[in-house]
Amino acid sequence: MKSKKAMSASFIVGIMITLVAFVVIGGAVTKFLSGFEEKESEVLCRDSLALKAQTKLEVGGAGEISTPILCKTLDKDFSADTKKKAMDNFAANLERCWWMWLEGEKSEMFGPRGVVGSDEKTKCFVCYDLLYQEGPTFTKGELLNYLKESKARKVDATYLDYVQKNGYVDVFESSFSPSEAYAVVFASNIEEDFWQTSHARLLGFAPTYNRNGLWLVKLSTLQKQMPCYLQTDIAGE
Amino acid sequence: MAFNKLVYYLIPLIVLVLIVMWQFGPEGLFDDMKDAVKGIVEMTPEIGAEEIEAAEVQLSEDQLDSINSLEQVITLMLSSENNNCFQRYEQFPSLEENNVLIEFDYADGETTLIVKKGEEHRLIDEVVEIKEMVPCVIAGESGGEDISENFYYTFLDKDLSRVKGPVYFSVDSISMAFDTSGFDENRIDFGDGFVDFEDEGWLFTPDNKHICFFPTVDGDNDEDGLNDDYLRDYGSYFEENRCVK
Repeated sequence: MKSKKAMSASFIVGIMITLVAFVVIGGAVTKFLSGFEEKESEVLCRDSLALKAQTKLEVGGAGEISTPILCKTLDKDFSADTKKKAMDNFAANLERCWWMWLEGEKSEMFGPRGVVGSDEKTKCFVCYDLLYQEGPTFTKGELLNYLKESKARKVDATYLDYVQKNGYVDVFESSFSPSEAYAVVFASNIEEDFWQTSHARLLGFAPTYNRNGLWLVKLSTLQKQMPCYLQTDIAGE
Repeated sequence: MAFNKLVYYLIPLIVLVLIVMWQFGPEGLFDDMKDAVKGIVEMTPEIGAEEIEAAEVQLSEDQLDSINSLEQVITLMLSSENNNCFQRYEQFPSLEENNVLIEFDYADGETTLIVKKGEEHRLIDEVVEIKEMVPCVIAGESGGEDISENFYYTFLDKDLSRVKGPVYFSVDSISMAFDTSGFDENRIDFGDGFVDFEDEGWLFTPDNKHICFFPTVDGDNDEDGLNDDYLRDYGSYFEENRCVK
């Protein structure tokens, strides 16, 4: 028969092994997720959002219960020898981001706003950090025209129609130059509520976000102006 | 012995095949489980994110006509050989319906006309690149003098001794929309918020490159624009000095 001392020692060892196992498994899962290839990360992100959209349960003003968002901000760099190729790269990433975020069909994916405040800005997530390394400069007008006239890759619609079916596109910059980093951002909607949004809007200090949106903005502008409440990705970045 | 060994390997193999068929076969448990989960998901519609139902927004015919007219008149003025001349476009109907916003953005030597619509003007309806155009207004200040006054004394009152600076002001961005911060009407913003815009549909170009809009004021000319009466009173002068007749 084991002594009490031996039993408590084995109990502590058991706990330690369990804790170590958690750390090892947690580390391995994080490493596994962060080592995902771009496409796998995008699919994982979309799937996690689809699951979240199905399971989201709002608990009064206290927040919500749902499965986690497993999306990751992806860093990409590219060069282009023509304006068309450069704009196509931006357009493709906008389309991909919109696809990941369920084409903007689901409301308040980051959860409802707080009980007090948090209406003046929307919550957002950076899908891509795009470093435009080398290529020609082009204007906002040229890019918007490209989005309006060119067919998207995965759907039978132009890039602009694809997004504007449920959402909107906001291009912050008046021109796009090489050696600059840009962020493709998913901006969440805010559901209209008389006592908060509508009332604040009547008083003139709350923008409406009745649709989800896609923003294209210089990374430096995003960091400097913080036009939205940035949500962290699965790596906590 | 050899037979025994064979049985020893075969039995687990057969069991494995049976399990796979049982789980993943056409009538298998896996399918049943999928159906059951799907059923549960369908049975619980109150859980989950709400769907966003975005309504389609279409510009009215009047709105489209006036925007087309503006585009055409600008093109005409840019190609004209006359300087310091005027041209009239079809004045905008109320831009309140569909929340229309007409925006001119200047960057890298060209201007883009963007027509937006919908709540908060978030939806893009039209994008037109206008090469070689620089947007400008008959408003603003230069050296402490009102530009609208310089314009007035140069072209309307023709008292050049009172002209103390430029007659127009180049800007990077101009927007026109229905605005409720003054009277509820179409107004113009060239950088410092919306001001009156009773332009009677007139545009001015000094050089077939700058295309100037007329922000207006009630009363004396000031930095916000030209006295709106002048746009009506001097209509015949503007007509006589059209860029293209």
